[in-house]
Amino acid sequence: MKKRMTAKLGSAAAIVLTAGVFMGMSACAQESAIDPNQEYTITFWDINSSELDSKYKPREKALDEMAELYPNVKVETSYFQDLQYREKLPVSAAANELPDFFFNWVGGTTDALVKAGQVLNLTAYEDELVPMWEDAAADSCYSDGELYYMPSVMQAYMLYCNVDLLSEYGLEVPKTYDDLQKIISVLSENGVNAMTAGGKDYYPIAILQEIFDLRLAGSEMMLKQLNGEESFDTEITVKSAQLMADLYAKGGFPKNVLSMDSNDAFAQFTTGKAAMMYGGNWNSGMLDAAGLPFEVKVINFPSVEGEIDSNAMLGGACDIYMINSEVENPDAVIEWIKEFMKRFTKYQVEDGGCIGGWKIDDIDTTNMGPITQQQNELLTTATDMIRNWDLLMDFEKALNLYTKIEEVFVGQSDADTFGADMESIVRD
Amino acid sequence: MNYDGMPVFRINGTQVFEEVLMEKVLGNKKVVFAFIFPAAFIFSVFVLIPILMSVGFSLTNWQYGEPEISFIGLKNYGTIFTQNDGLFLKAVGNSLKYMFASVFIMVPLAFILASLLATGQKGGKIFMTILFLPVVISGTIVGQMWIKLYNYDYGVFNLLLRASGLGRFADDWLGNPQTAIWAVIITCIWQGMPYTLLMFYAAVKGIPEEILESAALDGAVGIKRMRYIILPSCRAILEVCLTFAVINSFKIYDIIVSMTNGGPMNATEVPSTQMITVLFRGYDYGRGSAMAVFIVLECLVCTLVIRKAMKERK
Repeated sequence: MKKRMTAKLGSAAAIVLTAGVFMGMSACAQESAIDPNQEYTITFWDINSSELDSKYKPREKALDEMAELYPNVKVETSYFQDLQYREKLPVSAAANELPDFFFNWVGGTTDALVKAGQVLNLTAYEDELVPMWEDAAADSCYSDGELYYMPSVMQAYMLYCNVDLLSEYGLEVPKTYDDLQKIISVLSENGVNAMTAGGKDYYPIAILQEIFDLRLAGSEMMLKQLNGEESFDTEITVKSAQLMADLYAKGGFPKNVLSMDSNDAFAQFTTGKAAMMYGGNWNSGMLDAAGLPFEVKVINFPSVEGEIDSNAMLGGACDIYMINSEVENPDAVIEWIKEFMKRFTKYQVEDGGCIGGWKIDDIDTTNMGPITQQQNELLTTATDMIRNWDLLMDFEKALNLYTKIEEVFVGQSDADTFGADMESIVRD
Repeated sequence: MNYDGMPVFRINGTQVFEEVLMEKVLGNKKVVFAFIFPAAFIFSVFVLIPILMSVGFSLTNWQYGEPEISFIGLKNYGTIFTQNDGLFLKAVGNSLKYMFASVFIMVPLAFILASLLATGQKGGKIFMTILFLPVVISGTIVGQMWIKLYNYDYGVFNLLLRASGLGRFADDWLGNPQTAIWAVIITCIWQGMPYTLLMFYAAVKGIPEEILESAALDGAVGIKRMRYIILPSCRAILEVCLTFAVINSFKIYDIIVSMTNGGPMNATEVPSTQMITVLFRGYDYGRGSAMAVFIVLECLVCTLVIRKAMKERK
């Protein structure tokens, strides 16, 4: 079994637009594992418990359709808020009280659940399932080379630029790191924030170091470093940290960047108080919905001198779903989940901003705003993609790494030692 | 035995004095057991057994997902202080800062305010009501409120500094690792003080008026009255307040998570945030339990120290 951690996304347009295999509607035509004369009950846990949450409506729509398609399958749902779920999941797992089908974040309890034997091994279904998924999404569904998870939506990070604000100071959307520095220099002289980020949430700062590292080292090298085949203590790691630190040192971020969370950063961008925001694709839908009075251009992070691939993007599957290893009628449950996930993913994509982990060919783009459409076009240019690697580490190591990155970012720690520090944190 | 003035009960028409009745009741072991059992049962199930279980877990290498759990003695207690560059030690240091601020700032301030409000200051009751408000607001909301007050751009503190020509001192109070912990401690004290204040207020109100009046005749007014009359009269409550202040400073969690989430750069980590991270994010139940036991021991030791110190002062 090949565990594919990186993916060529030459055909990334497929994420939302190009043809894939959408087998849902033909499910009934094939020999079904779901016996219409038998009653089934599936217990299902997910996050986003409020109607205002992004997943809620797409999920209810998909569940309604599934109730019509399979009236003999009763689904018992329980929804939780994120923080509540982060604690509920491990506690329920320890008490062996997991439902049949449940949500998890990549890099959370995933490997621990597998090790504990509580997740159904899907390797026997691999030939059927994996061709229905985007490559970058499928990469996130393996543990020790075995297929265990199902993807939902993917994430990718991009630079959102306020074109009007930049034009006001005679500036254009940056194509290179030098352009970025020029923008920072001009805007900071005029008391305007060039970039914004929610440093309180840690990852918005970490992804800056990670995108520089991806560009300079490439995803294969990054994965070798993570797997211990190569050291992090390299000039490239140091350079990536230095490039990140220079952005802050030159006044590229607001003074309170470390006390702002992602919502504050989003508000700063949407109110025109910051010209650029490097963030996840989920911002696209929200920016469209905000009805901004200025033009927004979505671009990949500017290219850096000495980079391997200027089209490489940070991203991959983040939301995944798991099936309990003790589930009754696994064939029937998998068939139901497969049909449900295709619909659920499709409606999340159509609802705005999401990147589907399943190949879907009948996406209705009529409700998509201009920023989401720009995002989708941008994704077609991505040639290499890797998940932000803090998600690939265990949580405590990631937290230590976040702290170290923040220290370098604000100049409290030297970038020269960052490679050695990172090596020691990851190998600890 | 003199039964004059003692409360009288009638059982089956016979007069029974309270003291006699109590002696009878306490002499019956079955009755004593019946009274003690419910409380002892609840205490055991919800307090004692979980603590003992935590002690047991803390002596193992139990990590969620690992098939084997083995006894490793006190190793976790060493690991919590050495792992992650001694982050837990830093967290303990932060909780000690909060403890000192509570003991040496919050408690004296609450005592002074209570003494002033309870001894005939005009509008004392209104002030008490206003001052008590923070207690009824949840920690998360208090945290969110103070985030706005500390905001670099529009926070009231920075606005005041800028308006008074001291703009150079305006800071990102929660984003600066040097100021973040103190900014959080101020918030915690703001929320915690009214509770202490209320206890002192009740204690001061309980001092007989004649004592205060005769003290005033002897010249004990103002600070002297506070030092020599009110404070000694509130000794028992002072002990309770100090104990609560210390325990709360080791238990603090919600306000920290709401305001800084332990950041920036771990500057506001406290033992409970570390414990939750290790238990529910790192799934290391052995090490997390060691942290939990450490917090319990920390509270226990400090409580004993306070009791001993107060006893000696007596």
